[in-house]
Amino acid sequence: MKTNRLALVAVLVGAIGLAPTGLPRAQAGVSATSTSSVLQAPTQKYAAVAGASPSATATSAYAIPAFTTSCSVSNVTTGSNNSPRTTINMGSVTGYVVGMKPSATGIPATALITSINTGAKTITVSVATTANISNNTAITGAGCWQQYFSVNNIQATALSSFGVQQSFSSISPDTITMRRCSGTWTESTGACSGSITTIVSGTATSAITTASIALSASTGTARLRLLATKSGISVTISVAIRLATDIAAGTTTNS
Amino acid sequence: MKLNSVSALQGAGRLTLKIVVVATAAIGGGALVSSSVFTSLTAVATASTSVTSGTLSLTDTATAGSGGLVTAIAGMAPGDVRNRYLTLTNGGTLDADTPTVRIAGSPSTVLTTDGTKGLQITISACSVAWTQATGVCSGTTTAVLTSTSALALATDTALTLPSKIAGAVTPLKISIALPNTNETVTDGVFPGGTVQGLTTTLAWTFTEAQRTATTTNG
Repeated sequence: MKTNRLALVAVLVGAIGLAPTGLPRAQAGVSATSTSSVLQAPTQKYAAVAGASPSATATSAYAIPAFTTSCSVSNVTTGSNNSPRTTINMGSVTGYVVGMKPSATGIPATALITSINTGAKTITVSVATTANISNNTAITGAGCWQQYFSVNNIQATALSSFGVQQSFSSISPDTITMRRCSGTWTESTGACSGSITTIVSGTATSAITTASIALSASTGTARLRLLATKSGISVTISVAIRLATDIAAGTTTNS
Repeated sequence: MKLNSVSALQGAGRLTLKIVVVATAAIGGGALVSSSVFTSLTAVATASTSVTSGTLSLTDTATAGSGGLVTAIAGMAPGDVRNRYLTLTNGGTLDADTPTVRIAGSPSTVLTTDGTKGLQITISACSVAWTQATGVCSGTTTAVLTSTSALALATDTALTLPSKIAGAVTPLKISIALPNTNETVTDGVFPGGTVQGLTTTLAWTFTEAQRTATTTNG
């Protein structure tokens, strides 16, 4: 047995010794290498959250507190507003907001204010009037409830926009409208020192909608207003940062 | 009896003679043989041949004004491209062949393990020095390595250098890109497999083999 093993070993050694030496050139010849390393610093992070205040950082959807603040305002018409019409001439539009339910003789009960022209001092209603509205008739904007929240950049990288979604069970035909103010909100009255832009409005959960509001790195914040045409609605707000949409385009640097 | 005595004497004389003859022959023959060995002719021709083996040497050096491959890259954002410049020198006396590059990432992250979302590397050569401020080559540009993921570069990958001869000096532009991605961060929570907030140290290895061995007559 031992003899057989020795014979096998001998055969293998012989075979190796006689094996062709046609190794690939790269292995058989010489080669040279040059190595170096580069430290890849952290890639950027992007994130924003919704919360009650500009300092909120909790990483979860924000549940809006109950819409308890009611806003109501009354202005009078001017000139002749014969029916049927959806644009009503007003002596003032101060305090009106989109989504309010205008109340006056000749305005259907289901009508809502859909737009406000502060220059021309007109309001547009969603359902045409059914009777003439005489000069100096009071139109009360009512049935609005509001709540405010902040969207805060919680990372050290600026955002050029963000996506936002309001989620709630259908309240049709009532609506919830999310709005921004280019200036500052007076939250007790809903007044805005600048211009107001509607981000999203609907009777049920919205899609993720782009808010074209830049948020500076780390401290960037935006104060938004939710305006509901009825109370007692549970709403949550989610903020989405989409790298393909909400961040500045990549740059090429030479260094 | 006398006759017998004479015969005995004659016999003894013959024996003595025989011994003498044999001894003489032995000594003389040996002498003749030895003499023939030491006197044979010998011719020798000599020459001196100097043999020098070649050398193969490869170095990569950051071009003046560039961080090369040794200086950290500031935080990258999707869509960013960072161009770094270096000089690859075949400093030996042998021509080179089959140049390759390999990258090892440590620690292993999506930057080097995801062929789509991870880093993408492109290497270009310029026949003259690169204009680093703009990344423009005023001479002839050679695509040394088309865009290739760091994942793929975990193994030796062939490079197309414009010259591999001994002493070749090649100005290279290394473009390191983080691709755009559709990643979404919802309510501050990063998705799985995110490319955000990652750090990886890249170890680069350039390799070249010797030129093809040759047989010459002359």
